[in-house]
Amino acid sequence: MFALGIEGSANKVGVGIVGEDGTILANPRHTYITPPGQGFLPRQTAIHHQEHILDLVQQAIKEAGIAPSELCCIAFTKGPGMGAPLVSCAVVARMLSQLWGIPLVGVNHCVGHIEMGRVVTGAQDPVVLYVSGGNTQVIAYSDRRYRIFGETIDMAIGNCLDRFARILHLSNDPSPGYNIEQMAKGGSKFIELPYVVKGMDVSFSGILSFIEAAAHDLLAKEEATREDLCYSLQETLFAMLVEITERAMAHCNTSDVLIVGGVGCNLRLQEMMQIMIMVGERGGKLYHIDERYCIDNGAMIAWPGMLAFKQGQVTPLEESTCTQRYRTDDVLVTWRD
Amino acid sequence: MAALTVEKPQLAGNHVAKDAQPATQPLPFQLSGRIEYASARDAEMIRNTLAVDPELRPDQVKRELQVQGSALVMHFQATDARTLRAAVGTFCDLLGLATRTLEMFGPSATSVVAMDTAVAQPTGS
Repeated sequence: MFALGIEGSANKVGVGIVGEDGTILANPRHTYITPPGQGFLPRQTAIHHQEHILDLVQQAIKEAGIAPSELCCIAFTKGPGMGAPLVSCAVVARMLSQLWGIPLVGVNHCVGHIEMGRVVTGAQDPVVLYVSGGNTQVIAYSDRRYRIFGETIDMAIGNCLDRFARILHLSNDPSPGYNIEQMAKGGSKFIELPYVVKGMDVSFSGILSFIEAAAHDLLAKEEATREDLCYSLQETLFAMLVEITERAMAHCNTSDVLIVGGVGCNLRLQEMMQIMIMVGERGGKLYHIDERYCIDNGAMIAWPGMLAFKQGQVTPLEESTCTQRYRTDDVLVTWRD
Repeated sequence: MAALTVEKPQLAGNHVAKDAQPATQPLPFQLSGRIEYASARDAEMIRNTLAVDPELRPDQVKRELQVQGSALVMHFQATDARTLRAAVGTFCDLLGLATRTLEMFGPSATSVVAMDTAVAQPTGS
């Protein structure tokens, strides 16, 4: 029994096939990369997904070496994400569900990241730091919900990094965040930036405005390099994340941390989190995954789809709508105790 | 075979009186289309897939989808040409995607009859 999952809530479109035990048989993906200085817009992103999704379905089935008759369900991202790209993927999921006579399972994108991280790393009950272009949340599981302990009160961390990359005109290939990470390695001078932690929450928009203004000034006067700015931004943002993660660990009495989401494959973030865990001497472990599973992919939707399906949860066709806003804690996690 | 017809109202007054529109807005801009599939079942799958998502602005655009024989029949009504074009454009992208899914993964690789489009130009534009 296998599940096929379709993800396309942002600029990546992916199709994954997983087995009943979480084995990933295939997970091809295609990324919509915009020119330097430009972000991705809903309509163009939807058109990109529409162009690539069917080839990805075919590729996934071929790589997995299975027949559609061996699938038990088609999982799709119900939300959160950009409306038009989400609907494009849902349309293909609905057609496949009818053509192959198997049910749909709507999956919450954030829960997809968490379950993907758990199955790939084997982490049992960690505090989860979910950091991506659209989301920034510190999450812990309790009583059948993934509860949000802290989150951004404005923009997501990945959005902040992406937009700074646009200001510096860095390439979006393979991703703006990756290019900031590489550039930050060459930074030596730390520029002090605002540090905005409000209780368990964080705020990034003020930092972005500050560094945008400072960047033009410092670069013009040659008082800092682009590398210094990338380095300073990363250090400041990641320190904020480490702080609220540590506080959530103390709240939950948990010593393990799992980092998921696209920003989660940043090695400097992983390193800073590792230092916090070591210094705290809680005997915990940092669980992290590489870009294959951190960045949006089809398997991260297929797997929670499989988990929900095994609990008897399916989504009737007429209820298979998408929703741009869909909070992590809206989902009843039926597959955990 | 696909056929599209567009109707444009000849009531110039409608534009002028836009501000004074009642709660239920008139939807004078219309488009009808008919797409023939290989079977009624194919047309039904497409209809079922596309009928799930409601129009984003139901007060400005009304969409009807029906299966007649082995054809999908669509009918759009909108307050103005721009809204009509946006709704129909988005819909047709998804219609194309659903149809290509059918072609690629459906019972027969060529389940869709070749499309032949006929657009009736609105009068007086």
